[in-house]
Amino acid sequence: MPPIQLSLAPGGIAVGYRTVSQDAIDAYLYTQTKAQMTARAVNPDPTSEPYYQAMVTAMAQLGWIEARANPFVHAAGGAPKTPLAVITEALIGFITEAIPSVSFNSAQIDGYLQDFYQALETAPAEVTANLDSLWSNTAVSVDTRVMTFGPLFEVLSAPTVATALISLKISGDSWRCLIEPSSDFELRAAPVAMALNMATYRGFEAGLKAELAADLTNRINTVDLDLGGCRLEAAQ
Amino acid sequence: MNLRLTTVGPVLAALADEVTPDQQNAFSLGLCWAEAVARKTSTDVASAAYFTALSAELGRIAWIVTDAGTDSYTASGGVTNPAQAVTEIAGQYMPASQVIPLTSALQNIASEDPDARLAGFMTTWWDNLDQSLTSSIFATCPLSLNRNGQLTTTLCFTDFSTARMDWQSFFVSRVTSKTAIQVRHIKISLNQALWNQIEAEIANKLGDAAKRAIQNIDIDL
Repeated sequence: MPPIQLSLAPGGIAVGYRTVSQDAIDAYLYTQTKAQMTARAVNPDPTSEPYYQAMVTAMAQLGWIEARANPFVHAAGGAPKTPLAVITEALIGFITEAIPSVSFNSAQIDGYLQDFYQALETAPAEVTANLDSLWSNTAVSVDTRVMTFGPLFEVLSAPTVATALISLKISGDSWRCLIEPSSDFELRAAPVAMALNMATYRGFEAGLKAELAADLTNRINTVDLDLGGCRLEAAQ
Repeated sequence: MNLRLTTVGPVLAALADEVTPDQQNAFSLGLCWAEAVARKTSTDVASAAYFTALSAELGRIAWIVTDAGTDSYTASGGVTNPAQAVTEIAGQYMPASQVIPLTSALQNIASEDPDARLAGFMTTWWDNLDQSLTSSIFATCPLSLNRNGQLTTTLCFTDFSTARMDWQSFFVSRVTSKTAIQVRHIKISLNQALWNQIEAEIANKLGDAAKRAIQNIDIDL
């Protein structure tokens, strides 16, 4: 069984290594909980621009380091490669350059790709059915698709979220185009990465957990409820 | 095959096999709480105000939002099958692990001769929805575990903008001239450790109301 689990994020593919530790997951969860609490105070709608900006600011204050890159372009021609390899290498290369605490060597990148290919090749029918749907839903024209691609994974014991908005110009009626070598596609990517500085997080971890629990307890004790909707009566 | 369903207020949840009873309870209590808070903003479950308030409160009580949005669709004239439409539309926002229990549940509900226990379950839930609603709003919430073992779900409020009818009529295919469908959706995952710290307080404040608002069914079909 490959060490990668696939899931479909709306408009894209999310990949995660199963080896992400519970420690990293907890760090991600608690900082996200706090950041979203802060963002909601600015705007309760998570689809709004003010909410998004508040989230980015809050995450930075909670030890997340953000890095952006200039768009990456892969032109048609040259030796055949799979679009997935181009996307992954660009994303990992960007992370390595932008976040000093992270580094990948070529063997690790190759290993990551092989794990990804195996996960896609052995994906159960319900996953491939959704990949078919994804391929269809991300088409903006006959030969162009826009999708997101990004993993949450642990690198050197730091949770890292790296995503890229991909514009892919390729002829093909199946998502399998992503894993078939070709010289005939053009790809543009705008990568964004965020990595949690675990040393910074450790400094406030205990305080953050206590603060969140106390905030919640206070809210539970003070908020008003409308229990009028709780009136299930058995069918006659 | 086991069919596991939970209803909490206007929401019908379909549970994947791996969801434990404790996780099911965490979801039910949390949603019951969030609905009770949201109703202080609006009692119209079809409204944006209600959905935003519901989503915000879920976010406050240890659920992490990873995606959200509102989309509109227009089904052109022809045969409309709400169960199929919900699966196809909602399935665009959900990972495969959530689509499977949702599809299975809706197919069973829409079958020509559903299990009598399922029929009774659906009638109790449907009849207790707000009868003042002028449109058929249908809220689905498939529960599963994500790759990190967290309880996760995609809450979809689908508004069919058709007149209210009994659930048996609603789920069968019928010919319509045009159907406008709006979907409000939010994808959330539970911070279980934080929830464990507050669960007892929430259950205590909800009291018997929680028991009145939640019903479960587990059928071996």
